Amino acid sequence: MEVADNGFTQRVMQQLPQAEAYHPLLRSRLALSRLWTGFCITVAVVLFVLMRGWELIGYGLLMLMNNSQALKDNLVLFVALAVVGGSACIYETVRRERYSVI
Amino acid sequence: MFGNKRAFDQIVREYQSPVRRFFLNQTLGDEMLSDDLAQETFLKAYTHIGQYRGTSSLLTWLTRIAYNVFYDYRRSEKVKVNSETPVEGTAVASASLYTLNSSLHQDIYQALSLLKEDERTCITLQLIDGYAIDEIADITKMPAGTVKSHLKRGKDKMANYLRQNGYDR
Repeated sequence: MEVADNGFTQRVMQQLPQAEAYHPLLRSRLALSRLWTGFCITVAVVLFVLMRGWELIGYGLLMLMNNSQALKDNLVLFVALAVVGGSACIYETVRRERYSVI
Repeated sequence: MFGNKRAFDQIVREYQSPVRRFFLNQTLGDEMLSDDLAQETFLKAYTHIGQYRGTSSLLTWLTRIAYNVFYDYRRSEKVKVNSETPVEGTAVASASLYTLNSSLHQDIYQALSLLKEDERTCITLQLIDGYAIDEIADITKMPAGTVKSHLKRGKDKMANYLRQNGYDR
């Protein structure tokens, strides 16, 4: 005889602890992973500033716009897409980083 | 798997029924207590999922955890429940979703209430959940001979009770 779920699964899922909260090994691995991510982001920002990354991007965009009328006409749309896409990539990377250690 | 909540959600969804039924049978239909114990069972399964080696079915592994959870509960409540003394006349919960207001289920719970805790566990695991004797021994960590004794005594008691209540045909 089957017992109807009646929200039982949802109640259990809400009670699940965060894995890193009870497993010391996972906690240290997650901390290391976050340190590594932070280090990479810092290096990227420093290099971007030192190498005047904005000039490279601006130059690249100008070149693209000179070669593409479509890009020139829809510049705002392309920039918005780049921002949304970039944000999604960062979110997914952080999410995968979390699940790769647990 | 460890920490993969989506996969665990599927496991809970698939196995909540047999695990909750196990507790309903042990608690004689106490729905609230059964759900609390079943919830504890799944939380333990989640935190110990790395220990599941696949040598038995996932349901058997979950039932073993459920049995341990119930055993711990019984120990902590030993003032109320004395496993050596049958709990004669134990109130059988009436509003369980499992009893479905059926008088047959009420009579079965009443008959189960006459059994010692270990007898009830063995009887329900075999007759309701369909486990073989060696699986029951594996779940409860009792020797197979002890399981057989509990089954024999439990069945005799239940048969006597049910016979006295008009189930002899």
